[in-house]
Amino acid sequence: MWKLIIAEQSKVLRWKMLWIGVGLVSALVVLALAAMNASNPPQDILERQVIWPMVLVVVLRQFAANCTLTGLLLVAMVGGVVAQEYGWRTLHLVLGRGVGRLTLLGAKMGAMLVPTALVVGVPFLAGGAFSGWLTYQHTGLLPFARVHWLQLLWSVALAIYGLLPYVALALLCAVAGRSPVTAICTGVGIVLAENALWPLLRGLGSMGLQIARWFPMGLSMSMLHASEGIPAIPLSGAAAVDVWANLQLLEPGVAALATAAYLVVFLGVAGVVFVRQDLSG
Amino acid sequence: MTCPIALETTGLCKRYGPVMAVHDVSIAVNEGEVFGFLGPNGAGKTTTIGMALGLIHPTAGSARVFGEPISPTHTAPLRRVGALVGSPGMVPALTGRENLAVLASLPPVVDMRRVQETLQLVGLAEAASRKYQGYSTGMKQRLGLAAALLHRPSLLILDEPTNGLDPAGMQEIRTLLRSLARQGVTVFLSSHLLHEVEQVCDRVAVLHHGRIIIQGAVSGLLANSGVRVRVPDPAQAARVLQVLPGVAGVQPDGAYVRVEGVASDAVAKHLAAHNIVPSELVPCRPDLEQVFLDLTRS
Repeated sequence: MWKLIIAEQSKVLRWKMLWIGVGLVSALVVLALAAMNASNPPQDILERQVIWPMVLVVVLRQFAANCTLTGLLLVAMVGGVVAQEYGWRTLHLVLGRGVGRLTLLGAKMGAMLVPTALVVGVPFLAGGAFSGWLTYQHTGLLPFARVHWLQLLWSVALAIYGLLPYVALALLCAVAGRSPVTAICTGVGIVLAENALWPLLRGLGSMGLQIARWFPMGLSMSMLHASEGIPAIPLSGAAAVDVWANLQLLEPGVAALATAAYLVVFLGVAGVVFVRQDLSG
Repeated sequence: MTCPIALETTGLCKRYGPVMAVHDVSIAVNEGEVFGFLGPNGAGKTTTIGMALGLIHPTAGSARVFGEPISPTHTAPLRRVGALVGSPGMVPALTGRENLAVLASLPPVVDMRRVQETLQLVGLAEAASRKYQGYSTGMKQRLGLAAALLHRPSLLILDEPTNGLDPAGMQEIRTLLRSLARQGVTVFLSSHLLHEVEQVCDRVAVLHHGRIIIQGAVSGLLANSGVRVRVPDPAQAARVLQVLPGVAGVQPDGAYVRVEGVASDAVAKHLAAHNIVPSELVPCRPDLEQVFLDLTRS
């Protein structure tokens, strides 16, 4: 299984779309930070959105782990490339070598951990480095001691985990659609529908929020709520405002379990569809 | 003594909606032989191979490789099989060598030396560093063959392996297949090229409209010979030969009469007994193309 994952990964890392997507999100983070900095914000906004440590939370939540931005990117990328393998006939080649279908699907999911980590990690590093430079410009120092590094690493790991349902959804769309266009359109459509429903449900008040928090996006936010702890010092004023406090988010443990349930359901259905398929011509 | 069987299908059927693509296909390929699977395009060859490789669910029947059943949920015995089905499947963005390296890392694992060796074997060593997307059809076919040979399989299942190759390339591949067979590799060769099958195979099965219409040794199929006789009065000779015991058919053909199913000496004796003296008597050995056309026409 491990060898199969490595083999799949060697293909994944050749995707141009992956590197273009990662580059675009990273550029977007840097541009947004530069624009915010150029607008000469008041001190409390500056502390919250431009300089360390609080900006790291913003970069992680609003860009790197943003289910709309990175979720859409992952769904399009994974769905498109996996579905393309039906046309390339590489699935036939591997299965014809005696590799089990479920093993292959599992290896594909395993191999997607790296692109998911890159989609989260690279923009976060780019935003972190750029905001570090801005912090230095504003304060004359880099406040490493004001960042809870372990909490930061844990939050990044949770962000990656929170995006995995989108990867599993993309695999399901790819296997069921068997064509890149179908897979991308279906996956993107589902993510956009989730994004459209989210504000609608929030508008419905408490009941709506209780439903919305069980969506993959809500689960990711529930787990990322812990990123409030990235600053290692007590914050004051606007910088201390927890903007997610009124979202009635789930306990991180519950959210993690629900995320796992999404993974099991999406991958399970993809597995059943894949096993039942005829791979002809 | 019975030979161990490398590939066996029993009553394989595949239905796509109202169309029966493959109907009751039963074949047995002995270890060490080169078996030809012959049929026109659309006869059901690739579908049959797909079922034998666990890529397609049979509607009925079963396939076994080295005695072990194969299905889409049980494909482990295929580790001893190298297959090239239809157009080869590779990652366009990887080079030929990289594509093989990915396959080499799958069980049964082989090292990079074997990758290089296989590239040389199929004549692709010089183009191995080029991306697959830039390969010609013939080069893709060679790489597909290399992928099939990579892990030194005991059974090779090849679907139209010489597609897209030039005549020299085709001959090269046929020579390679014969040489592999001499080394003990069983080869299952699907083709619509009759002369290819005739040159390479020991036994053959002919598939038409999804059904096996004949199977047996190539030499046996071709042994069903006839005799061409040149006589002064072909119509009279044809009437006389109709009653010769064992005759399968008599067909006047211009100044000749074609007699099927009997040996030339029997024809000569029979004509002499009826005071007909042939000026020419030629034993005919039909090629596989003729046999195939006769079979598929009927």
